Amino acid sequence: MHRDEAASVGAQHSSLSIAGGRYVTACERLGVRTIPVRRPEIYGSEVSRRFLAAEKDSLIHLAVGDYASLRVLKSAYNIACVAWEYDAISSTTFDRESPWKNQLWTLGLFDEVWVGASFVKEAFQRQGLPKVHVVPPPVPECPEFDQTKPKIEEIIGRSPCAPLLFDFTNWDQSRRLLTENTVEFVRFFGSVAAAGRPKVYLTIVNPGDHRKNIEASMLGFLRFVQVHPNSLLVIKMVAERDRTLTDVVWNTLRVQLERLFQRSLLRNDAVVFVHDFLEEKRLLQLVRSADFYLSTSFAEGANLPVLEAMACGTNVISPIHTAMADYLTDDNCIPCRSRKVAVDGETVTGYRIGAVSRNEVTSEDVADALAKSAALPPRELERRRRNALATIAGRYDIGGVARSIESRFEEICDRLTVAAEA
Amino acid sequence: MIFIEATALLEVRFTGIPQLTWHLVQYWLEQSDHEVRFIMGNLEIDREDIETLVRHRTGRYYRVWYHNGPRSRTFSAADAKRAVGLYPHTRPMREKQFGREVRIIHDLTGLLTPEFHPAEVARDEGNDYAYELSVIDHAVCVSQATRDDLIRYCGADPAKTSVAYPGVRWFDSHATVYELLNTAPFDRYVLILGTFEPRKNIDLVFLMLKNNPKILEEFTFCFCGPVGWGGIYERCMGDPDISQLVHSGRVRIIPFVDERLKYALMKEASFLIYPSFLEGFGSPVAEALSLGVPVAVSFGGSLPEVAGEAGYYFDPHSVESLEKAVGRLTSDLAYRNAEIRAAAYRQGGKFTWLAFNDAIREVVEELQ
Repeated sequence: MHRDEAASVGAQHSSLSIAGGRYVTACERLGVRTIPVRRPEIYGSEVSRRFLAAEKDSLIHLAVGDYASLRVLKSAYNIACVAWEYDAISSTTFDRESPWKNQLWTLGLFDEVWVGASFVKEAFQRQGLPKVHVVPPPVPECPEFDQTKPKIEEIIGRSPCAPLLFDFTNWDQSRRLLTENTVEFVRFFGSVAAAGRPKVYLTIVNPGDHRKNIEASMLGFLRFVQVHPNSLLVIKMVAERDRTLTDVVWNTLRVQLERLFQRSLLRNDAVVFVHDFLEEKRLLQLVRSADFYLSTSFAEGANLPVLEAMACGTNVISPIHTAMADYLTDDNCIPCRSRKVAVDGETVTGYRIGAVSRNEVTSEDVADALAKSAALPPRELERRRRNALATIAGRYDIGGVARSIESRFEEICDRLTVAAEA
Repeated sequence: MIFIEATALLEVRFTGIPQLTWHLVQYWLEQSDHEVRFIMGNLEIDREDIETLVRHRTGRYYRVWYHNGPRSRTFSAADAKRAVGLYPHTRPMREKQFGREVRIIHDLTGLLTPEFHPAEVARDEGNDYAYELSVIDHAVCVSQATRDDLIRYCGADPAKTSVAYPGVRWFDSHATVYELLNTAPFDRYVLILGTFEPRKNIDLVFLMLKNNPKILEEFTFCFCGPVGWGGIYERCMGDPDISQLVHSGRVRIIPFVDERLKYALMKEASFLIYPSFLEGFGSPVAEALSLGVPVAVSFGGSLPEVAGEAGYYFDPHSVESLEKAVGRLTSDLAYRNAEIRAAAYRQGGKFTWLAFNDAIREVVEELQ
């Protein structure tokens, strides 16, 4: 098992890092011994292999990481476990950049590839990768599903937060205002809840990831809140642990916030930014504490937070496209409209690909979906919540994914045995 | 007809690739049954000048001469077309110069571990290996590990690759460490040879000494190698505990080691520790073994091929693993000294320049 935690995007909450840990849990449930491997590329001989396992053991190397960090472990069966969100993949061949930038080349080094969704499998197969399997990262079971939800202020009460009460009309003052307005969440929530406990809509995003479409989330919510004032959008930002909230908002979201302010949707404490390190268990409790989980992404390769919300009994508001098409239906979430459009350069610059599409979700789409969520009777919300849990059970929970892994491992071990005998 | 690229002979010190080139060139100068010519870049160099460079074993005095180029010339396209080009180094090659070409591949560390190299080197090496494979006719790798990497990562055709292990040759010297360093004799010592750079992982040994300073009662630890890059030297020397060990004299830092001093240091060492993460070959390990000096060595890359059954292996990521390997080695030194030294000799004796050059000659003749 090779996980490159340092290299993955967004530090502590990076999906890749979390996914890696959960694959380990699933493997251990199967009784498979897992060994963390740093720098698999240095293992080049029988001697080095003996440091990992006995000669008789079948060695399967699961490399979970971003493309630049993927390496094969010689003398093992190599599986690349990657996230991917677009309907194409970079295939630029050797130029003056590192070969690792050629994602097709990198994945071609591996014996097989695991992805989180059928959409990704199809995208890879279209590009000629032969052995691609859908083995999604598992979602932990939520034993408290039927119990009362925890209170959000008890989960992230001490976390720093800043409501959207700053503006960018005065640049000199806005950064200072942002810092001055940063308070502990419990204090902020107390003032908001004084007029009545609001419905909490949660979204967990890396604010630097353009794909997450955070602008539409905010804009749509600000429209919605004009009709449903007793609502709160909590934007839990995923960013490096050592950065301050001011730094994350100012340096990552400034352009998007400026556009909002230009549309005169100024200063509203119905939207609040939270930036804190939360260990996985607490993060799941946060998801569970919300009334709704909101996702407005253009594209997803798995969308772990949505799967987690489904497992935790939190109603999901999300478009049904890319990875979500595998598990979201009109019956287990509150769907949000989306439409396919040609992708813009900004979205895919980092991936060095072109001629791909994305699923556009506008603020109007978000506002409509939010309105639907508010209009649904509690019984219907409960029905969809239970349907969501049923979707997760057996497919995306640890047990379900462990079975998928077991089936892959059995086939691989059979093949390794045949190869060894030959 | 064979053209050998000899630019590496312009280096001041003949270690690593210049040393290999020196052995290669010397061998081919003695082959009367082949027409052998020498190039530096696009220019052919007089055989006489190459002989002088080989005799002097430094390019210190020839760099200016080469750049002025009075005794160099271009070679004809017709000659180039029917010749085999032999390249002993990793210099970027964007076009094919000769009808058939052989390249010696030392390692793929720039490609596999770019984090250990300055960004430009990592990018260039990574791309050049991949690109050169589409140009060259045969790749001679200095270890099976490098060959495996070349096949796995660069898609090299196994039939167009082979392995030739570099050799070890010492030049007779009776000077002792104490004479060469102009210092009072020190006790039994452990040698750690390598540049202070991230890939060489020298700091792991310092970490072991911090965890287990007791070993310094038995051995002095000599770290020999230039300061290098990546801030490793500065970090180690900035550590108050290490600084104290250096001041105590139980840890010695010797920044420059020429061949004579290296020989003296090696042959008198109790054992060598070589903690590198990844190597294409690992000459210091072969050199120590050739003198009957046991080695505690990382399992990274090619090193187990070099140390064979004589190596005391450890995981280069784990100080505990290093401590265990050193513990086994020191225990064997105490109770099975003659036996383990004999094993080291046997293993070190496997690496000769003659075998290396013969293997390359075989490849070249096949291409002819």
